[in-house]
Amino acid sequence: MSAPFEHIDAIALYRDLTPERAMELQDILASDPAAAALLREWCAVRALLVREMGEASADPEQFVLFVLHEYGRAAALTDSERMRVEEITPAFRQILAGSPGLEAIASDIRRDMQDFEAHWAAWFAEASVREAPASPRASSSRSIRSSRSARRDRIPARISRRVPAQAPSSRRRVLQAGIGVAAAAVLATLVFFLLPASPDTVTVETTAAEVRTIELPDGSSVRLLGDSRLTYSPGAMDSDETLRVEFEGRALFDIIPSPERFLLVTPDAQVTVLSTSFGARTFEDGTEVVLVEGSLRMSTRQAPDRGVLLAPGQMSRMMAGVPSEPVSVRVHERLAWTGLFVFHATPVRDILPMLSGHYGVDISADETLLDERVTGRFTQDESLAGTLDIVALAIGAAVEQGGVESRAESEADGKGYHLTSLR
Amino acid sequence: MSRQKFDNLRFRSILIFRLLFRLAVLPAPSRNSDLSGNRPIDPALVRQARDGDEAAFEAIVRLLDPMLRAWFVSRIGQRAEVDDLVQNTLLRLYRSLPDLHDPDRLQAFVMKAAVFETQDYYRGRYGSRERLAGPDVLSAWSEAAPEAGMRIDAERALGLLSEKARTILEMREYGYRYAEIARSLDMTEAAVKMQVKRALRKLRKALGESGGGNA
Repeated sequence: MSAPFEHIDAIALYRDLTPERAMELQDILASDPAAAALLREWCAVRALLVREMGEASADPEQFVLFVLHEYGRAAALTDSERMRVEEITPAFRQILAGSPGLEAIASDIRRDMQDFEAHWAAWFAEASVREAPASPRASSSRSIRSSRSARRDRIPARISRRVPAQAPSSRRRVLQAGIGVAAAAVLATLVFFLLPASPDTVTVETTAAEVRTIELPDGSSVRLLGDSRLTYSPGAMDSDETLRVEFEGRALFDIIPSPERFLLVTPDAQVTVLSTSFGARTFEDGTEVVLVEGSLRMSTRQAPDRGVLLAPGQMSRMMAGVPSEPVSVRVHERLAWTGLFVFHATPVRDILPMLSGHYGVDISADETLLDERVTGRFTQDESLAGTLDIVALAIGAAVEQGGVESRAESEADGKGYHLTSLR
Repeated sequence: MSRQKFDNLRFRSILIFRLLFRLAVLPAPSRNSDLSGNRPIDPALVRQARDGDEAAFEAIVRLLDPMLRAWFVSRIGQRAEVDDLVQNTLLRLYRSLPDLHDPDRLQAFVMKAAVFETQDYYRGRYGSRERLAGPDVLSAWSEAAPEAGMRIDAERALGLLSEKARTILEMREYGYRYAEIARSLDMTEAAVKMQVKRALRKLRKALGESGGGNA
């Protein structure tokens, strides 16, 4: 095949070219049959993707309604919308299960939905503490305000409530209040420093971009991802109680074998663990658990004895108070959000494309190695060479650099990698 | 005139009327007209608006407008499109009012309307500035069926895509712009486009390996 390599980027993004670039590509296609053939193939592939997404892609509004309904927001739907969504739900669920793109969009919709609800609550709750209504001009302003500037607009209103209280006529009361506040602050400081610190619970929270690894009293560890919160009682191990961990957000748990039970409690679910490794994510209206190894049971908080038992490689979701039947998933894909490559008996034929896609480097292996299985985990910011060395060691292979067609943007100086069997 | 056009005109006339008249004449409601509970908007007002009382709807608009504006700005920043997003959200609400049987569902209805508009924004239906000419100019090429006997079937090609590339391509085919795909997947736009280019290179390589090609 003649190589329209120099035009490939334009073909790849053909739907998103500026008019000038599109005209240039048109000229190229007219004179280069290989480039034209590649574009047609590319379009055929993308058309197939559209077909596989079916109605969900053809009617985005329907998809939004489906997502709202699926995540417990049926109240947002009109009667006719609800009837229609109930009809299409089985088909849409099936489409969603096979479409990572639609799943990402559903997550996007859910985030916006939750964010809107939080914004609504905060906006009107803040308004409710105001004594006086906003001035007509301010409340009906058409100017665009950022959330920051909007906040600025509101803060003076709070301050203005205090101004009358500090007027000269009540100066004595203000002075008394000030002394009272100062005394309380001194007392609180003394209590804080003089009394022995013995917290009943420990809470760890992460900010949006933060990832923290926490060691629990029983030696288990938790990789806590951004915007997550975990609370536990450090004294539980001393009193032979179950280690109960309250959790919201996203985390990967590694629980060491222990005679004590480990209990993970999310807002709507309870996960009873023996010894295991699993990823858990909570949403406003559900909890998802993916088991890497070991065993666990997921149930509602109200009925901890009735739940579903997960085997390694299975996932279950708590939705509307009911744990879904466990389904087998590709663990390394389902736990990609952990920022780790999590492999559990994962065949090399699955690992190589993942590493190749992440690092942008071609990686191949001898045919005899492709069915070898690897268990382990690697941080995604580890160097490719370091990760490959460990994988090779595990499967009895050597890493060779080069010998494979390289990619222009290869991170390995234009060289690919090949794993050669040493057996 | 279609019902929808009539609604549009009626709705916009309410807004214009508000700008010209109400600013100076009527007192504005506080943001919270029902301070006793978690109903920021009086259910009675919602019922009146649903039953066709335009003054009631106007009062609701004045409560919701700044809240919506702040939310859209928090989602997309200070952009000119915010005005249209707010207007169209309120328009959607206006059209759906007859179906709002329970006033307590007002928040859910507003949320749905705002999410619809946000999705439209992500799918590039607001930014004429970013409208591109590719599909029109190249439609003759892109819509042609692959030649008979071509080397690779699309299904096999799909199997060659990495999970990430497939996610991105599906989102793009759904209508998301690359900038929004990048935001959603927590990547840079350049990295998203690079994934697309790599996917095509992989396809091209597979085509080469299967011995196809025209030249």
